[in-house]
Amino acid sequence: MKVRNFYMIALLMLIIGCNKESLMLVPSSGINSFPEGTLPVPPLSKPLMEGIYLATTNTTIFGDTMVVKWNHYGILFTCKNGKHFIMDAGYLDSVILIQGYWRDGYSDATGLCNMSISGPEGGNDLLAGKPSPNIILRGFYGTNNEAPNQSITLQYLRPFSKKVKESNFYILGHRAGGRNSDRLPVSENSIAMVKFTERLGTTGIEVDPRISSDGVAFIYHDPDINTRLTKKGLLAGDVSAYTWLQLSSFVNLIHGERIPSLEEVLTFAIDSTELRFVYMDMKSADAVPVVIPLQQRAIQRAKDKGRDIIILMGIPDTDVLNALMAYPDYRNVPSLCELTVDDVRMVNSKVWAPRWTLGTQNDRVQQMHNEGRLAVSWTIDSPNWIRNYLDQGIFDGLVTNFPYVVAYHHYIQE
Amino acid sequence: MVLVFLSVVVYSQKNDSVKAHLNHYTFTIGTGWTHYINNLEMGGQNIQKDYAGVSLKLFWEPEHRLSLGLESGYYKLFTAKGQLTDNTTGQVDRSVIPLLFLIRMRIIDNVHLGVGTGIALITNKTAGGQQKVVTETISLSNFELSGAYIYPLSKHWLLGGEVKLFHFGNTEDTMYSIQATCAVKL
Amino acid sequence: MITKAEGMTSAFYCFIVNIPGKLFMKIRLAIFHLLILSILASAQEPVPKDTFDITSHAMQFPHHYKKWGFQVSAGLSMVKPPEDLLESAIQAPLANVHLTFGLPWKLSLESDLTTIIVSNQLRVGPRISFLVRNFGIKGGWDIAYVYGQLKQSGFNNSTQAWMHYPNISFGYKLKKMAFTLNGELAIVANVSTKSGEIEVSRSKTFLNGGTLTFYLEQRIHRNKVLIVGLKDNYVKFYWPTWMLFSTFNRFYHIPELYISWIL
Repeated sequence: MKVRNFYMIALLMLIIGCNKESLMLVPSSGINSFPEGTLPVPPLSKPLMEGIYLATTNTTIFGDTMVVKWNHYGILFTCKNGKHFIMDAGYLDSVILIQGYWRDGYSDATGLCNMSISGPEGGNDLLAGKPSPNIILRGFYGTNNEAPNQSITLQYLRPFSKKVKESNFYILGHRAGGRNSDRLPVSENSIAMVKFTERLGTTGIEVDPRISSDGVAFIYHDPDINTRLTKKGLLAGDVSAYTWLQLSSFVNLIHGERIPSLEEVLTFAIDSTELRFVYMDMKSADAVPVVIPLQQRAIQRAKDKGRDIIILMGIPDTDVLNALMAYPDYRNVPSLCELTVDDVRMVNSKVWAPRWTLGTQNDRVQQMHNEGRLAVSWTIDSPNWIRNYLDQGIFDGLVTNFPYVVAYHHYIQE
Repeated sequence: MVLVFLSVVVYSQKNDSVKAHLNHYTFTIGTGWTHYINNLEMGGQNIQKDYAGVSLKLFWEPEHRLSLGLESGYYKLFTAKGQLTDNTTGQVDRSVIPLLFLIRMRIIDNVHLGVGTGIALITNKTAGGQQKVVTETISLSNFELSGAYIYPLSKHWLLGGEVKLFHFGNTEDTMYSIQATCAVKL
Repeated sequence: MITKAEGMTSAFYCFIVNIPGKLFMKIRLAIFHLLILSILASAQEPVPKDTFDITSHAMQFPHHYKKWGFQVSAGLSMVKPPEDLLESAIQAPLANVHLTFGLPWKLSLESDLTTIIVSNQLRVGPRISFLVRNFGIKGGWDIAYVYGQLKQSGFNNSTQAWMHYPNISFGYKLKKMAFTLNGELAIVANVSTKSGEIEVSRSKTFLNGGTLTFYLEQRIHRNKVLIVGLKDNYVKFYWPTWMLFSTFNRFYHIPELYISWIL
């Protein structure tokens, strides 16, 4: 009986690794958190605020230096270790108010943050359009949604170096800014991500075009509909097997957005951002003849609006290469080639894009430069590797899921 | 000579403390009710979740408590209707054919507990927007938990019942099934 | 039922009696038949009791391993890496060979080789075990070397790591099966990775997490033992997936189903 009782104890407990982590929530201090009457920071003041700052408090968490950089939507403070602040700014009287949240790109840590630059500590000069060597940002940060209560002080050290200011280095957000697993508040490859990405320090994006069964080009990374990218719904299997109507009706991305068409993404990037580089990483050769006319229309639109933006068809494999070469006048289709340098020359690509795991390949990159082409590497995420590639490589850009880390190591160069 | 041969055969069995003739194979067929556990975040309002399913199993049953086997079958997971953005109605049917490797243990008498893992073919049939689409996905991360009562009717035939829980990782679908089973010892 | 002893005694008794010629032939036949019967009778005796004891056949269950004795098991682990790393729901098989070597004074040595070809781990470590009635406890400390290399399909990378696994096991046995709960910590002492000509090393030791495993050992066929284990790795750096260059500073639950056949 004793043995039988023992047998009845549950022997098998299959541990289900439930690795679908909770979605990252952006901490919020509530709506209308800026004081009433706050005005936007004048455009002339923004570049004067940019530069390298020394952190004089809480250096163990954020490190001792920060890069401060304005973007189209707000201001980014980025640290060496992957932590960064996504902030908005305004001014009232002579005080510049900066508010937003910080997050750790490599873990789930986040919290609110408020800072200000008082009049005597740089506010007066900045708002008057004068450079100030004595800018001090003072404020507080917190954890999650708690009210900020840990002090943080940043002291202006220097502006960006001449090398950095003259550089045309591209910080390219992978999947428009980052992956879903990076716990950003918006879905990868969405319009919301294209809008959000500059806040992370990107100056360009990489997106993943496919076509539906009725020939509509859209942006979606994986070949199948799955719960990594979408809310669990009725559709499953090959995403390209469905019509655009079926995808639009039955599929939402994990943060609730619709799958965007390629045309929507290109139009938004041109009209509503300051992005300078769009890398369309073609996911199927069938999409090539559909995407080329869209690309040409987008390039014309950008030209009409006076936008400085490169829009390139990415060539990740020989199938796409052959599909491009089947197009008349393919050598005039602006493209980016991930294959060999000989393939780059064969299709007259503007950019060579080798995988980062192959090394810096400085000799080949130099050959590309000598021919008037650019070279970018993908997709590089570790801070150590990013620093190494920026120090020892001569790439013109890096594709990354952590653009704020690339931004730190790029802008801090002397 | 015949008697000597028999005596040698019988004598050799003395050295084996386990009766080798208990080692056999069993083929099982089962059918019963399946229920889909609805965890759809979109389109799950108008859904039919209960169907009949069928399973086939082949087990190697050595002389002790453990058995190793393969299981397949056919299960319809759900049928759902939804509205498309052009205000027409669409319908989606999803079914699965698993192929799992099973380990089963006899706990007491005729009661067995089992666990399995393997692959599954998930078929999605979508009709809507004047187009029918059939997609098939191979799910590489699946598991099954099962409990069975199997009663031997005779030397070769067994009858029983089984409860099992499946999870298909690719689509994160979960279902359970309660089946009557019939098995034959081969 | 005639026992062997009775048959032999009868035969001998008949033989020593003085018997005439024809009768002697009949008696010889009778003796022959009795001998055959005695053999058959002995075969009809009840099968000897099953004397199998899991203690001496188990590998994971803590017990006093046979001094200077080897045990080897070979098997597979089906592992489900986190979707954040693979971006897909996939199970992958890891091939495994496990070895125990018994030493005096309740000591033993254990070694484990696990591989997925592009990534491999070899671990070795001492154990000390105590067995009291049906309860066993075993403690040890393993050192592991991880090596991985991938030089195809757009990769030109390799990695090396040194790790430590302090571990403890608690077991309970019945006559024919044993249950063991094993817990261990995973400590990464050094990791270095190469990409082309550039090498990046991290020498700062960090606690990578831990693993909890439940093992069930019992006979599968004749006296061969099968080990079935359910494992939960709660770690940040999971060595079989080094080539994904994960940068996440998060712990993940990574379950494994472990099946091994003791050879």
